[in-house]
Amino acid sequence: MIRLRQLVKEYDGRAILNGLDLQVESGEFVFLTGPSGAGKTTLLRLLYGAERPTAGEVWIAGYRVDTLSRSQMPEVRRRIGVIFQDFKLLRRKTVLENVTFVLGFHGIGPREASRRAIQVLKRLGLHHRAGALPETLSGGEQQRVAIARALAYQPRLILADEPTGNLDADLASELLSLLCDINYQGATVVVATHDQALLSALPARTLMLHDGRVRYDGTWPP
Amino acid sequence: MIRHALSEGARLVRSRLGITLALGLLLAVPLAMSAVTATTVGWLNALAAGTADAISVPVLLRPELDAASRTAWVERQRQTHPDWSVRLVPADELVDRLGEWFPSLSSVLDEDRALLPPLAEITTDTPSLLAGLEADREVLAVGPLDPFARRLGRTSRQLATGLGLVCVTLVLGAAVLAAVWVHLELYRHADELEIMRLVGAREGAVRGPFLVAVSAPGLVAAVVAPVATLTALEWMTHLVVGLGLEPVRPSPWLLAVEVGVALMLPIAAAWRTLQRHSRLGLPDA
Repeated sequence: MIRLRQLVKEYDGRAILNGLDLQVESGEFVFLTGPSGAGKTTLLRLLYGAERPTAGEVWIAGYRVDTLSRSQMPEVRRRIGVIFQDFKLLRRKTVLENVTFVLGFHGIGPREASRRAIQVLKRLGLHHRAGALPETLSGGEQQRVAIARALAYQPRLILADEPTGNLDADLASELLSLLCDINYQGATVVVATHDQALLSALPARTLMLHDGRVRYDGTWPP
Repeated sequence: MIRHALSEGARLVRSRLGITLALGLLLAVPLAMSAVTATTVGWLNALAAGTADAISVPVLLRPELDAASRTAWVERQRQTHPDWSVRLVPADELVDRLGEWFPSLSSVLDEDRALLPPLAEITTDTPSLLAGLEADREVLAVGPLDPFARRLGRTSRQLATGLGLVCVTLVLGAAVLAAVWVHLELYRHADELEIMRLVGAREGAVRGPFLVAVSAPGLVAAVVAPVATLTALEWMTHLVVGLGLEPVRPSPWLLAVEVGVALMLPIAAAWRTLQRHSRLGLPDA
């Protein structure tokens, strides 16, 4: 599902990722961890094509993302569900609209989109806030809307950037079980986190980034 | 995608109703001016039509010249200027002309044709050369070298050039304003657009609402511009018909072009701005 070859990303001459090689198979659950500034978020941004690498190759589901044109990029992004660290919710749209409008891009009609969105929101305990605007929600609720949006169209790859950052322990555990369910259904899940409790809660493959390279690849704790 | 574009576009228009109307009028005014100018110039040209490039200039010879001297003068001019068509206006024709211009003189002219001045007429493409005849001892006066119809034609061309430039500048100004408006709206919605792109929206879905929104001032202009054109031309017709001239009628094609430009220009300006904006999102591969 994911293949990185000699991936280098530099900002102003400073290497954030330095010759990264990585392969994630379809259906895997992978944690991405490491200290702040290790390059977790940068790696995720390279995966969903928000940035281009300085050198190397990024392959997602058979597409070479780093060479895709602008017009080809949506094709890949629609196969990826991204849970952003800063939620990236549309301010002027309600919770329900934030989820349904993405489904619209996948060719799902408004009625089916609403049905699916409400289903996911129910699962995340947010259906009672379906008509609310994001600014009226707490940080945890906003994060759950972002998660609902990423899960609603059942993508084959989920990329989550610090998804439990604004959630209490119960909700974090609920989210993890949700991601596990999706993973059991065949989706590949990559979660960038520095939450030790989350890493310990699931015996999944964990990649530890440090100095722009993978320093550990195995189950956690080492 | 179309539903999304329409609903979001309508939301944009509602939130910027004043700007939409102002842009529509800004576009409509120069378009109407252009159409009125084009129609007026066409009307003036039709008025000046029939005057070929070659014009006839009357040349009054000295009355003391006898018939033989007049004929000799004409022959001399023909030999000196083979490209001129020179003739002596016959007395009957001159009486008819003068009688038409000055009806009160008819009786006097009929009584004594000896009073008639000897008039020659020279037809040429280069009337300015006739100015030299004024120094001829046998010539009393040379008629106007720049007749009204020719001046009318020249004036209409100058009008077309001058007002055309003004109109083109104003129309382009309105298009630039539409582009600037879209540009500002893009920055106002930059977060939303980035999110839409990141979750897999095609450029069509991102651009759609803005194209719908910018077509609203285009629609306003497409209605206002032809109405303004017809109103202005109706008023002009009212004026010129009173002077015994032909009415000023716009061509249906011109009105169709006016509507087409009103609809397409803001969309084209917005499209260009959206294209430039989309390049900012992701560096080229």
